[in-house]
Amino acid sequence: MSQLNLSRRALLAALIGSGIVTGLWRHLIAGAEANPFPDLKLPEPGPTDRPPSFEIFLALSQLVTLRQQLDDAVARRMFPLFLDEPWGEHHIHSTYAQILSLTRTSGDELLQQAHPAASSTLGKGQAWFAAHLLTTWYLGIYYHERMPPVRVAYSEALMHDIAHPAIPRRFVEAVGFGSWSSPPT
Amino acid sequence: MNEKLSAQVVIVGSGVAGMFCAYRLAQAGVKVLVLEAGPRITRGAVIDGFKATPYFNFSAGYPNPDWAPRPDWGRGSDPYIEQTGKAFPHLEYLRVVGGTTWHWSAGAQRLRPEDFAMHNHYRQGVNWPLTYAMLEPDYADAEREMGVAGDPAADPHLPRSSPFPLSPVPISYAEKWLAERLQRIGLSFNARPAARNTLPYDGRPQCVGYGTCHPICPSGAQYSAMAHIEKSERLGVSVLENCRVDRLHAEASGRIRSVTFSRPDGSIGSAEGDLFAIAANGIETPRLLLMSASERYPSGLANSSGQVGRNYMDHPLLLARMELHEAVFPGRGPVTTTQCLDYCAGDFRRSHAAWQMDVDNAIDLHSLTEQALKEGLWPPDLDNTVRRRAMCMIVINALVEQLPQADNRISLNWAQRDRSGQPKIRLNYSYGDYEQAGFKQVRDVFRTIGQTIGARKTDLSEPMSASHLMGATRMGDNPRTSVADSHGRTHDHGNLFLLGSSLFPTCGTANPTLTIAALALRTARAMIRQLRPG
Repeated sequence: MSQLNLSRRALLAALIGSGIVTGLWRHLIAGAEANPFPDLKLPEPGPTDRPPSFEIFLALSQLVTLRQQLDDAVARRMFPLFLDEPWGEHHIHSTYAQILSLTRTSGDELLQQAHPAASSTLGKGQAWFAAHLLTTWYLGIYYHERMPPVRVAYSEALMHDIAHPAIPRRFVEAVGFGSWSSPPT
Repeated sequence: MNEKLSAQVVIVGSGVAGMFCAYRLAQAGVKVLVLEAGPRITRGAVIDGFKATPYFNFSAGYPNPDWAPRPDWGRGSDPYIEQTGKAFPHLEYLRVVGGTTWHWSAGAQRLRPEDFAMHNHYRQGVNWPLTYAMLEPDYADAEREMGVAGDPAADPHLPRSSPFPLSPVPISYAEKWLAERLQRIGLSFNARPAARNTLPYDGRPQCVGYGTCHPICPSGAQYSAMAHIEKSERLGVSVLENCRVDRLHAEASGRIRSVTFSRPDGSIGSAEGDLFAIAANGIETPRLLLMSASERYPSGLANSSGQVGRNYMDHPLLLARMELHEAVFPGRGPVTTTQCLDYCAGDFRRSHAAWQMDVDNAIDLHSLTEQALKEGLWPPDLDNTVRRRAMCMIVINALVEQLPQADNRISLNWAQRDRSGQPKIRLNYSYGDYEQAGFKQVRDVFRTIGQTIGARKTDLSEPMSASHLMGATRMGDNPRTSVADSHGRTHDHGNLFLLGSSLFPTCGTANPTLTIAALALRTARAMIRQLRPG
């Protein structure tokens, strides 16, 4: 499978083109010296008559979460769960293809959109699937009506990144006796 | 019957009530056998259990075996207890070696003197068959045994014979922030007594602030009954796991002869003793008495009064979640470090419930993130929103007093069985006018607090359960209206004692564990006197 190598500049353009702007735009500008996507390689969409590859699932996850660094082991636990869903293969293929297509769309008219999944050009099913994927990455729990919830990540759940280190990761980190009396440094 | 055991004293249940009693008996040289329905667990395994479970109640990471099942709300409903009445509390407790002190907030307050005499003071509820002064030495003893950290100045009207063994837990930044602002409206927050080590104590380490006190303290700095299990075992007490006691057997004289227990493999054993104590918690204790019904005792053991199972109480818990304009950084350090006692005492208790207020210094990152996802937020707005809400959130708790009502009752549904094959527990439970009036005051105060601190948003909860299981085998002087005397000895069976919060005739607003421990020490003395007259 061929891969599309994105330079930081190209990725920035792609993300802007895709509508991933506002906070991320500011973040990318402010963090230009610490580029969060130094060498992201996005695979081309695969043939839809075959199951999607893990690489496509991971790339889709990166685009949906706006994170290059995602835990590989967690992704490998999630992948079969999503693949086994009714319409799972279709959703992975089509959501990735549509979001990737959006990243290649240039045009200032997209600048006001917050995230590709919020784009009106993304199909309803694909928008749902992107939200479903995002929920799983953030909460670390896979929810689907066909089965009881499944824990796929604990410390690696992205919600822990959000408030860390001000709020320590549960069971894993302690702040030290008495330090809770003052704001975190 | 393939196991026959015996001891001078047989105790059913290895939580704080059973183990305080067992330890004190063992110190006096009494041979003690403790039978625990559930398994022995390790701290590491429970933490792994929480990391693996997709559910979020405080019990979700603990075992829930078929032979000793317990309430479990993980899937949104609980098949273990059949609930009727107007209120449906989500009760939680554990059936493991060490009991429910594995997950608690370590609140170690004493009841107040007037809590022991509600009828005398306020013409509400009933009086206890003992006074605060009678229990005070045992409170002090229990505080030393548990290692309670506290500040005597926090409640200067409470008579104390000895200082707290440990200095108070430092107050969290969020709680200091709140307390400073609420002084404007006359509310005072003080250090909350807690069984949490502010220095290494009794072989346990100093708290380092994991912030997960419930569901579990990863370091063991917070007291759990495991401390007294280890100390008791060193004195020769035998604590047997996976022994679910199904029945007590009484002779014609009323004397209890033995208990029968079941093992996970289906085998059955029995244990004989001179004295017996049931310390199986506020629901399982009355249940076991009712399950021990026989031709001679058709309504169950210790139940000539008809009071076993009745007068069940909890502390209804109301929450206020307030989103602030500035960061206060909750979720660092112990789950709660302060308390407000301004609504715990006063003549208003003639007409409405007293309540204790504290601040929940924990943060539910899952719920905050889930809510933001449901609002349709995407990165990076999602991250920014969750971060702001997490840092700027204050959650205030109110634990409300509940009066005993005969119809708030634990009974058995013999027609249905739980996973272990035992008759199903039925709980009929409602709030009365006294509690409802207390709820109204709580909500009014919460709204005032929200306005005072300039909260951008205040969400008030409906009453929930604090899982403080009290009252269903209450103590009293009158055998016609109570199950046990002031030492926990049942009126009907001279060698059967009850331990735990099911003895409480009324509940006050204090968390029950310290009172459970103090009563267990008092009962142990009575048992020793009975074993060694003169």
